[in-house]
Amino acid sequence: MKFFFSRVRTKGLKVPSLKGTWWKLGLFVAVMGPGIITGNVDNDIGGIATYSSAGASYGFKLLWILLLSTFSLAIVQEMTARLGTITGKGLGALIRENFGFRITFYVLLALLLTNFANTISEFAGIAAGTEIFGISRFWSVPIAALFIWFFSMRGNYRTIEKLLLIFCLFYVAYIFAGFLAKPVWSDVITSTLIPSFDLKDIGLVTMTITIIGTTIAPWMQFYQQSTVAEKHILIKQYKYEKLDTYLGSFLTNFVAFFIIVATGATLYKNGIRVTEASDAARALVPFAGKFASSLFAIGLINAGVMAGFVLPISTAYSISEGFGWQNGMGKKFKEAPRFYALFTILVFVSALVILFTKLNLIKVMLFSQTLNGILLPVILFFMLKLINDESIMGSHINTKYQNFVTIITIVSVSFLTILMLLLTFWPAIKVFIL
Amino acid sequence: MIFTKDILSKPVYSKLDHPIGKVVDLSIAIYERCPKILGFLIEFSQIKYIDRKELIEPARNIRLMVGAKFVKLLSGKFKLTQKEEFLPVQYLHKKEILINKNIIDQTILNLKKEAIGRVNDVVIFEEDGYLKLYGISVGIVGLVSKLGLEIPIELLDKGLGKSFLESVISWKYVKEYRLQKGEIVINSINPMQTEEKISWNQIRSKKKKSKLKKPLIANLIKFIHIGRRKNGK
Repeated sequence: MKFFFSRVRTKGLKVPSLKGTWWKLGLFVAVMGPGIITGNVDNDIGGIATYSSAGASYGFKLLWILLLSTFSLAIVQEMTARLGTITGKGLGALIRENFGFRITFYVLLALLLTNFANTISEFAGIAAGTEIFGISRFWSVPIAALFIWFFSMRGNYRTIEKLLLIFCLFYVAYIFAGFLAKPVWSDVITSTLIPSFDLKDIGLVTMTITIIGTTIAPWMQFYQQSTVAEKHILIKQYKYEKLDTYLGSFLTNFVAFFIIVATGATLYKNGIRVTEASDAARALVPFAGKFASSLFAIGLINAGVMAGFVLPISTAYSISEGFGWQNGMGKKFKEAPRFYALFTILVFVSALVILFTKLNLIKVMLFSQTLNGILLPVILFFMLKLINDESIMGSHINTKYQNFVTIITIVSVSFLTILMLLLTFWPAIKVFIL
Repeated sequence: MIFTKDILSKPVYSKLDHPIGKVVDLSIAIYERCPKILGFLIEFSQIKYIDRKELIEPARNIRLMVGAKFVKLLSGKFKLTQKEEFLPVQYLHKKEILINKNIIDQTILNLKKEAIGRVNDVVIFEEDGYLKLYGISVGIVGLVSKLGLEIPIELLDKGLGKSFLESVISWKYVKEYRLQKGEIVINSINPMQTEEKISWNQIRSKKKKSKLKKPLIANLIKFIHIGRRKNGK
């Protein structure tokens, strides 16, 4: 029996053989994907609803919060990318191997439930977005589900990644919608750079917490690490993956910024409050024109389809890794049957729920948000333990400075998430907290 | 035949019958086809011990590797055969691994290097007075028992009158062990060919029958080269 100690990864990502700047650019293009896709999917239906509501209720007042949350997101996702690059394994696998089956089981169960609830809400977003254009959900939802399923089954990892990167481009619709809303740019810039806050305004505090709380979700760590591992990104290519991660974190909040600008410049100005993203798209018509409203709705459908792809894939990755099943978008159905079976079930059951049940989506979202809130500090704690383990990370463990910043991020994100849950379920606590 | 989880976390008693720690892992030699349990990694709540001929001052919650010959089972309890301060500290040899840390929960690959599952538990059996590693459990029973849900399985077992089967891959089918990657490669493309079905009843009845009372662990491991290990890493 052979006994191997070596952990050197010899098979890496294929990169273009060019020189100089073009070589570096080529390398970045080859590596990019996991960070940008994860970041963009963060602006899913729930995220768009939160930002629309923030803009409609408080105008530009909360734009400066986006700057802060960008840093938190970038720090957490960089750790994820580093774990994936160094170990070549997904987070589900690392948790199982280092913390045992019992913990993994409960973590994955919570992830499955929260991602399932989120996937349902993504299909609800697709239905609401297409209904703005007069297309029945009985057409749009099955077509979207089949589209997602077909490309996942037929495509390899690179094809699917390219497709998702193309989807990322559609988020530009929100940037156009932001410009079409004709905001007063001096107000926008001032609100972004100069923090203003009113602690007595309970609604404003709650919205701030909600924005930060929705920025980092557990599926993001699982998805990004799994895709980084599947791409076989090598340590020497890591700086490009880091750039991809930072770019993804920036783009997420850049798009969020324009959603707030679009709704802040129109709905807030005219005293219209919204809680759902599709309502925001409809409400934009008289103030920013039908084109801006259509762009907003297109962005919504795009976000739903993209998250409808990524959330079930992220779940299938995590569970397969946890149980040691063959997984990966680069594999065929017969090579990874359980991985694809899980993915298929999640996609079609979510679509069927939207078509044939009268589920209270607000309750579903609340349930998913609660599970997210409980799961996130746990996941971040495991990540911190893993990334500081020299037997796993070698010399790539966190520096003291990185640990300090990460712990501050984890503590503040966890605290705010718990606070958000308390405020959601026990509104009376506002009096004591604030 | 028992699962490793049934041994882990069990309390360890001193020669004078005071609880002094718990079993946290078991060591085996990787190159053996049917590896014996060579040592017990014990977490002591408080202990004075000798390391390289020096008496170390009392230390709390310290984990020490104790040769299997210094641990025996009496009345279902793990007991040290020597006073703890006279226990020589041992180290894991280069080709020895820990069952809980290095085998359980690791990925199993087939000959094509495709992931086929994870090690849910390790099955241990007794032969010629030695505790030995029988195989790796890959079925649902191992998982369920790890979740602490043995009672519902037993009730279903009795209610349905049908015994649940656990899939076990014998250690003799293990071709490679990759310590750093946490991967175990088995000598087959189709895992079904290597899996052996052991019924829940069989595991339970054997567990009940032996309850690890009969084997005298003090006599089990006779060839532990303490000197060799002391110089090891």
